[in-house]
Amino acid sequence: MSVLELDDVTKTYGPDVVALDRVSLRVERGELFTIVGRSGSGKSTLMNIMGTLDAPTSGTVRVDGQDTSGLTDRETTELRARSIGFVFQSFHLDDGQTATENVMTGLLYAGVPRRLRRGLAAEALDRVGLDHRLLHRPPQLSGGERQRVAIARAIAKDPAIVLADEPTGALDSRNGELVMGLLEQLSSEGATIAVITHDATVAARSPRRVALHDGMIVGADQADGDARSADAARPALPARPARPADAARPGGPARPSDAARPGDPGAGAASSAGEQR
Amino acid sequence: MSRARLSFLDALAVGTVGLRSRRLRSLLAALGIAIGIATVVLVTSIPASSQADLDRRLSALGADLLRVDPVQSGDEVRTLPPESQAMLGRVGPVTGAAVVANTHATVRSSDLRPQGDGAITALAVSGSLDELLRLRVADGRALDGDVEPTVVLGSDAAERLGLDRLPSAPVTIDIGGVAFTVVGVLAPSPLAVDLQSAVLMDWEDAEAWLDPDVRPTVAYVAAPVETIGELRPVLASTLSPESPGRVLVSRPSDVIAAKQASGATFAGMSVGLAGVALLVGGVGIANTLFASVLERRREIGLRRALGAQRASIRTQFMTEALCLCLAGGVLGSAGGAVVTVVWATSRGWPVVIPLGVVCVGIVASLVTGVLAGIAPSVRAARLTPTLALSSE
Repeated sequence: MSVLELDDVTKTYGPDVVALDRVSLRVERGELFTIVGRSGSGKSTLMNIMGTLDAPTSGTVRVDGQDTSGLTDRETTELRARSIGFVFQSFHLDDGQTATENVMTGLLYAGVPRRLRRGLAAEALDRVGLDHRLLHRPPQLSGGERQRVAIARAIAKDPAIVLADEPTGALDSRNGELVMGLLEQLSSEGATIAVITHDATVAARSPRRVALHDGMIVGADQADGDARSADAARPALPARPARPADAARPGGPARPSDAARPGDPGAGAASSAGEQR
Repeated sequence: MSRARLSFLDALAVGTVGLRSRRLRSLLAALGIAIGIATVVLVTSIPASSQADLDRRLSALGADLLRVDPVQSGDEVRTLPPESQAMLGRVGPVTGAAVVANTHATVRSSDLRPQGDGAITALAVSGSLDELLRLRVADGRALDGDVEPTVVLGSDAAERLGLDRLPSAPVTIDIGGVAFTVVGVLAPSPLAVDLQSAVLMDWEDAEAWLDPDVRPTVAYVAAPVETIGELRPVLASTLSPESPGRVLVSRPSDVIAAKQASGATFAGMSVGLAGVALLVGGVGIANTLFASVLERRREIGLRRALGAQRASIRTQFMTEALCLCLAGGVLGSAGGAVVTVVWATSRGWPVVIPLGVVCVGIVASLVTGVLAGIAPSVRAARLTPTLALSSE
């Protein structure tokens, strides 16, 4: 059963900027799923939409079987509080609070009764191997430990899915390894985890992955470097200028893939790549 | 399962996280409110303490006391009716009456060093005067119906006669050719200043030794304070039914009260000033919160991502505003109270801190908190989680 299901999701900013272009993907219960893409590929937008932090311009997003279109902000928030756990590149921990308190904040908004929070938080920290760091504050922890606190916060409420946005981005390779190992372990214990990353080596660890390029899913089970646009195989789209962010980046608009994309007939089914195994 | 509303304890915990991690700034923001509330407490407590001191002195002096004087005109020396004391005593609310008569006898310090004559008056007083005017004897004893002619001296008169302290041997003074033994000296009485420069003798002694037909020139009446107003015209028409204008009824304590009245208007101005201080404090808090919202966009975004409803974010920032203002209010009240205690004690006033004002001050600080918190908390709640999270 799909825990998270995107169907033909498009996100545009203004009339000209298409951040996501007819993206469809499914994350199945209990799997470790990776979306890999360079910066500017629409990863952040995809993350926001998968996490119900933002709504698609068109297409549908189903979280835990529930269609999010037409939900009020309150209902969406409630769904997010219950079903989605977030892990961010920069941890987003409160430096003034202990590891336990940081994890408890996640439980607070998930509606877990006050008296249960401390126990659940300790349990979650134990699961990520930080049972000896319960009362440490983030500044007293290493980067890897901080990210594990963040992971504990995401899993403590036992969400339907954990979304990890560049979870290793701020870590050295050794700590990155540890964090990825932890995510794999949690997945093997039954957690559903979707990782979004630009790092092909991180993506390579995942049993199932898709590549995102210029807002489109361009291939399953491929690292970003191999990914090619499916434009050629599709009906012509309206002219799509580069995103402003691309224009601002040196050499951004001049990416080879923008100028001339080699046709890739094999990618014809890319729009439903997520459904392929 | 997810709740749209934070419980009270959760709101309190979440709403103080920001304050606890930014202690100095929180303290400074609260200080603005504290100054406003302290001003409110001060400008009401200090006049209240001063007023309490005045009231205490007035009631010691007798706000319940009226004085009746005949209105003098030209050369004719007017007096009150001989039965004045009895007449006044029969008036409804009157609880006590006493009369004083100027005997116009000359006072000479017979066996003492020479004094300028004429300045000291010899007064006959009815028995109840001591009690009515709360006269206290500073030295010696009071008059108590001795067979011998005796007097007590007013404080000024004693000084002029060189008798501030009574010698151990009996002293007499010459009044209208009669030797009166001095038995006591009175303490100063601000209510009856004219008694201070007089020698006082029993009414019976005056009749027996000086003038058998002595007539009252001043009457004192005590009555419950609340009846004093309506009593005034009644007293006048009692003593002078044909022409009440011939007697003047006054309240000695009014003179003292008038001296203090000027303070009240100043207090009114200060309350206005306190309002301004509160406003400035409120603006300061709003400003702090706005800055805090901008600075904490990431935190807000995170909380929204974790499932915080807009309402929870609003509650969080509103709680912050309220906690800041409440802390300011409590701090200010305490500060105002301490200053009042020090101030009042240094002046020997009783300490009066109107609790009502403290409550109003704290409520005002909470209202300030709500007003200052509305805009920042609405703005915080409006932040979209994506925008808030991306501002790394």
